[in-house]
Amino acid sequence: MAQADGATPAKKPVVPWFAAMAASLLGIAVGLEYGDIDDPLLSRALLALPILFLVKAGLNAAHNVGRLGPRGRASRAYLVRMLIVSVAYVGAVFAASALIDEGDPVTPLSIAIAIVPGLAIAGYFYAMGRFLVEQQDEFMRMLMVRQTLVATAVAFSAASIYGFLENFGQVPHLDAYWWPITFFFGLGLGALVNKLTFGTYGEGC
Amino acid sequence: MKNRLKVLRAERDWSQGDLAEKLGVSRQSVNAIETGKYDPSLPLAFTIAEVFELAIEQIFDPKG
Repeated sequence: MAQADGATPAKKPVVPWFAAMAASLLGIAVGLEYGDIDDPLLSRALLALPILFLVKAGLNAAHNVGRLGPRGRASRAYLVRMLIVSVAYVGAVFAASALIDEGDPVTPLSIAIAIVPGLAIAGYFYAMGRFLVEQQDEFMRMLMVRQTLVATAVAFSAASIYGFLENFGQVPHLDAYWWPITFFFGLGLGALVNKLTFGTYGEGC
Repeated sequence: MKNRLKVLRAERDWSQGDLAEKLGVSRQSVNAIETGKYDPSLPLAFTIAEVFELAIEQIFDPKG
């Protein structure tokens, strides 16, 4: 192996896993809305699939930035936070699905359990904010800002369009948690825009 | 903004990675500056000038 002779370890693929996450999100969204999956536990379990792809992309990316030494410190911290939040999110969704049944009375405890997955999603935004503060490479910081602006535009545009379509009875109801998921899809699109305009996805640091 | 980064780097036989290491930035940052896709901030421009032991205006051309 490369490590044995003191050379830098080989890079691991990130983009294919990120693409797999985006594709599975889209597939599951379409499948859940237009398929006949009635089991709520199964539908939530399916949502864990893109998270697993994201974790794999994150692990590979953490490995890659680990090769950079101190320069990759902000990226490594960001990826670690994202992975912790991802695991917390998956755990919280499964816990809420197991503990709360449809039609159960609303209690302070049920609210406390149901709010945790949403707070975990908020953790993603906290991690992104910390990254922007801690990133010392100004070009990479700019790429991240551009990426999040694209993602914000995609998510808010999609929410606005779908919201009016739903309001006028043209499409079925969509749970609101799909909009942050659309934001994450937009992050992938933002990385692609960066690649096309600046020649890099922003993966170098 | 045009710059002489590529020429100055070649004169010293540095790769983009070498220069990135000296500046404490990513290789992609050096490439973006070199190709004129990204103009560095004033602090980074000063660091670049320091690394090449030149004045900023000897590296960057604001009319470019």
